[in-house]
This record gives sequence, C-alpha cells and structure tokens, in this order.
Amino acid sequence: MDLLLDVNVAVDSCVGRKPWCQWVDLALAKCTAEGGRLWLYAGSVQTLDYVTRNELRRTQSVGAAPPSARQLEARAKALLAAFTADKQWLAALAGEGPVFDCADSEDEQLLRALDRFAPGSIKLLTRDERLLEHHRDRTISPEAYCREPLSRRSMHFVDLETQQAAIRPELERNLHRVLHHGQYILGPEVRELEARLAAYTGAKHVITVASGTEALLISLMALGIGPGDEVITTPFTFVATVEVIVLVGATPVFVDIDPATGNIDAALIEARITDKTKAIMPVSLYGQPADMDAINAIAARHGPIPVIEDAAQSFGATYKGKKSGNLSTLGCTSFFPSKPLGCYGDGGAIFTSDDSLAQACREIRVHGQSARYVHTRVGVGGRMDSLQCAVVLAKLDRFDEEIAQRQAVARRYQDLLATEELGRTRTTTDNKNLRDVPASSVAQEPPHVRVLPCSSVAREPPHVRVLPCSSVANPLPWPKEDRTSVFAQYSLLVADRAPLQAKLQAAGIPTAVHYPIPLNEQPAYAHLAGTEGTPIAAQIARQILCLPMHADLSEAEQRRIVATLLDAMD
Amino acid sequence: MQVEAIYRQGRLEFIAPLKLKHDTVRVLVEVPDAEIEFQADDQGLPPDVIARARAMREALDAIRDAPLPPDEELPEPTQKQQDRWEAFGLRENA
Repeated sequence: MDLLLDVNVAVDSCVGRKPWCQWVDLALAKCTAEGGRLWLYAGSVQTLDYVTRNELRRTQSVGAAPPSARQLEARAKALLAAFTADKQWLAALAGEGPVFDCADSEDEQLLRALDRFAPGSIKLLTRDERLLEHHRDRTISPEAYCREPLSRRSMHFVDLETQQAAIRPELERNLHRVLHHGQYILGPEVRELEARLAAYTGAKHVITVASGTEALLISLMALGIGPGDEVITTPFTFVATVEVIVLVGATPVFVDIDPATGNIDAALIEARITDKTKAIMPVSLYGQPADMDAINAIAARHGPIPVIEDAAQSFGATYKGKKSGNLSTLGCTSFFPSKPLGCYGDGGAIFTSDDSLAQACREIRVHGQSARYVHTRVGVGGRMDSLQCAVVLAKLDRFDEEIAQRQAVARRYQDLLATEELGRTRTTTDNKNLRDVPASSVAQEPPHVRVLPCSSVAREPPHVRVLPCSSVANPLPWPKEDRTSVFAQYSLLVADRAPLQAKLQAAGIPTAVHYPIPLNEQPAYAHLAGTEGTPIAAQIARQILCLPMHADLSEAEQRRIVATLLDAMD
Repeated sequence: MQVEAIYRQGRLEFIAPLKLKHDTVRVLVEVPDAEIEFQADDQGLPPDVIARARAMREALDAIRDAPLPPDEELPEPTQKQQDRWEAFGLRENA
C-alpha cells in the first residue's frame, strides 16, 4: 500500500518533532520495506516550507544565539530537500483547485488526490484527529499503520511502477504538453521521437506506427507482398509475426530455430527459398539479434530478397556494433508496455534506409494517402499517437542505462544459477570438472572465459559460456560475442515445467512461457506449415520458462527466485 | 554469564575485554526503564524496518543540528517571499 503524507507527519519526520517523529519514521520505513511508495502532494510545498521553518524557529530559538530568518530558511530547505529526495511528488490536478467551499482546502485537496489511485491501494498518513475520524477508510495514523501486519509487495514479472517513479517528472511534463498543444495525431512528439530513434539506431528513416504488429504489416504491404508469395520466418515467436504474413495473403514458410538462441537457424534458410520467396523475416527473440549477416548474405544471393527484422524484443541490442532494427532492409519494433522500451498502450516503429520504402510506409500508415485525400495505395489507420510518443520520449533518456541494468540482472541470474548448481553438484554428483572448481570462483570469473561441460541443449558453439548445467535449470547461453542482448526475457529450459511454475507461483514468484506452442502447430496456421517439421522449436516450446526480468530487479529478489527455483526442482 | 557493558550510540561495549567465538552473537541486555525514550520493536516490526527508520532519523538530525552558515553568506529573502510568510502566519493565527 502507498501512503500520501499529510503535512503534519511530513514535518514531524523532517524536523524530528518528538514524540511523533518516532512513529512517523517507522511508518515511512515500513511502507518502503513493503514496496509501497511515499507520496507528497506538490500543492503542499509552500505549507511544508512554512511549517518546517516555523517548527525550526520554535525549537532552535532557545539559547544564546537564535538563528536568523535567513538561517532558518536555509536549514528548512536543506531538511526538506533531504526528506523529499526519496519521495514521489503527486502533481496537483485541475480538479483539486476549486476547494474554496470546503472547511479545510488543503485537506480537501489531499482527499481528492486519493481518488486517483485504485481503491485500497493508498491511504493518507496523518495525525489530524478530524481527518482520522471523518475519513476512517481513507486515512491512517502512523501508529495504527505500524501496528498493521507487514505485507511485502508481491514480486513483479515486469516492474513498470518503479520505472515510472524514475521518469515521473519527464513523463508528466511530456503528457501535459500534448494536452496543451492538442496535436494528438502526428504532433511534434511524433516527429521528435522519429528523429531521436533515427539518431539512436543510425537508420535513415523511422516511421512510428500504431503497434509492433502494424509495423510488420505495413512493412509487408510496402514491399508489395501478397497472395502467392512466400515469407520465410520462425515458428518460435509471438503470433503477430506470422499473422501479418497471412493477413496480406502470403504463405509463411517455417524454418527451425537455433537452440542456443531461440532465433531462426540461418543455416536452414537457404534450402527453403523458392522463386516465390519474397521476404525473410527473422525475429530477434528474447532481446538478442538473429544471425543477421548470414541471413542478409543468403537474401543477397537470391534476388536480393528483402529482409525484415522483427526487433520487437531486441530494440536497443547491437549486432557487430550496429543497432537492432537497422540491420536489414526493414526493421520493426514494438513499444508494447512490457517491452524494454515501451509506451503506455500500443505503439511501434519501422526502420529503413531505403527512401522509397520509407515513403511507402509513411503513406500506408495514413490510409495510403500521398496527399490530403489522395489515396495512391491501399493503406491502414496505423499511426502512433502523440501521447504514446510522449511516453517513449520520457523513457528514452535513460534507456541505455536500463539496458545495462538488464544485462547486469541477467549476468547475476547466470552466476547465481551457476553457483547454486556448483554447490548442489558437489554433493550430488561425481562430476570431476565441477568438483575441482571452488564455488567462490564461479561468481568472480569474467563472463567470457568459462565453459562448463554440460547442457541439455543440442548444440553449443565453443565460444559461448554455457552456465549452469542441465541437472538444474538450464538458461539459454549468454549472447554471442558479436552481439548484445537487451534481455527482454531471461529464459531457462526446464523439464516438467507446469508443476515447477505452480511451485514458483505459490512462492509468489511470477513466471511466463514465451512460447508454449510453435506457430506451425497452432490451429490457425498448422495447415500452412507444410510437411517440414521444426523439432527444435517443438522441444524448446515444451521446456522454455521465463523468469522475472526488469531493470530494477534487486539482487535479493534474484537470490530468492533462484533458491526457490532450485528447491522446487529437487 | 553476565557481563557489564556500556551502550553508546547504538553499540554495546564490554567494560572488561571479552573475546567471543563468533562475529554475531545474540545477547539479552537489561536496560534501565528510565533510559527508554521509545521502544519500537514492541510492534513486531522487523529489524530492517527499524534500522531503516533509525538511519533516516540520524541523517535528518545531522542536517538539523549541523552548524549554521553565517547570516551574511545566505541570500536575503525577497519581498515576495516575506509577504508569503506573513500571509501564512496570518492564516495560522486566524
């Protein structure tokens, strides 16, 4: 539960006003320990400032040299800056302005502000007896709050709350700008985001669109792909990739995947190319780019055939120094909220350095319109709106920092799993390779040097660090050396997945399966799959399990996840 | 065995030197009732919550009790600020 702090309790803690500060300090610490957020109402700043200074004057004016007004002001500001540093500012909204007919305008503002939150998710922390008596279900005293049982926040699979707290000032500013200029469609935020994404990826053109699916659909339409055409793709991905191929009337040709990455196996593509092949659509799954050089080379030998990288999960990753999305004829990404770079709804983008394809994409996203009410081609209503672009812009400044955090979280998973595996293996197996390695050395080793000799995955390139071993959970190998991953997912291969998931769920640890059934086995698409099977995709679909993954996942949470996971597998 | 110790700013110091086998040892301490200003852990709050509250208190008290800068080094409040303070004072005394 979150707490909105009334001015009286905020000042109690800020200046150490006894005896109340002791309960307030504990209440604030308890809320933080529970994973709740502490809010201060932005409209209360002047009152906070005044009451803090007044309280300091009262307590510090005893003695030989009472502080001057300037000194009191300086001290109050220093205390407030420190006290508010880890609090969330709750903006004052227009509906909280006209409170002049209320007995206490500030109290009324605070009570109205509570209405923005989900019922039961926040209370006003106060020691105002009148508020406590008249609004019992919406207020709580520090002492009463401390006496309530501690209830720690459940673990998130993707934590957008913490991320939002970090970007709140930019986010609110950007959203309010849109509300004020009123250009909700193709407004300045759309142009700014496209320019910044072009600079970020190095692509000549960026076309924002309504979703990742729309990005793929518009790309296929821009290439003129339709009935009778074939598009080579992976069966191990979200349905949108194949859905759009079928929607334009073409036929998906499924090529099996590389078990080390989950991405399409480039070595199997060429055998499936026919004279009907009009595009290759690899997906950079879980955040790691596919083998784009090999795929581009195959495409070049046969036409060239356009390559569309589905970078919905890999935006921000690099391949040989270039950004995912800008690795082929066209790249597509998604700003779905749970993606590494997400908005608060649907959104997506197309990347290309081909002028005519860019022009086609721009026209198709606006109903095929080349000029006002001139429709030169069939299109869709596929624009990303200004509000969603404003959200992405607020996140973009710290995106690289979040990628680094995600990579650190993934590294910690690998090391924790390896360390746990080592400890258990020493007592349960006679594997000499593991027994000879001290447990402490595993976590300290650089990521690229260690290859442990066991994995249930079919093939392991020799340069890839394979950790840990198959006797416990078996994460996909660390990304190949020529590319980085943004770890949209952290994925393991496990046997007997369903009971394991149930045990983790019972322990409060959310998991996900991306994806349980290959698309060539899905009812809607099985008839298009042909006779060629994809056995590796089928095997991995049975074993894949994704653990919580986000930039703010703490080491303590990860230790709990790994310990619970391994206990559940015993 | 019972040993005498002095509590000083959150730490217990044994009066007579005493070497223990482990770094962390749970002990029972008898504290004079007159010295207890506030007993937080009676509420069943876990140690991490109490430690967090204590750390916050110490940080804020350190700012509050730090030496004040000389008056002349501080910016003079504007007339607008002074008017605002006066208005707040009037409201408070109303």
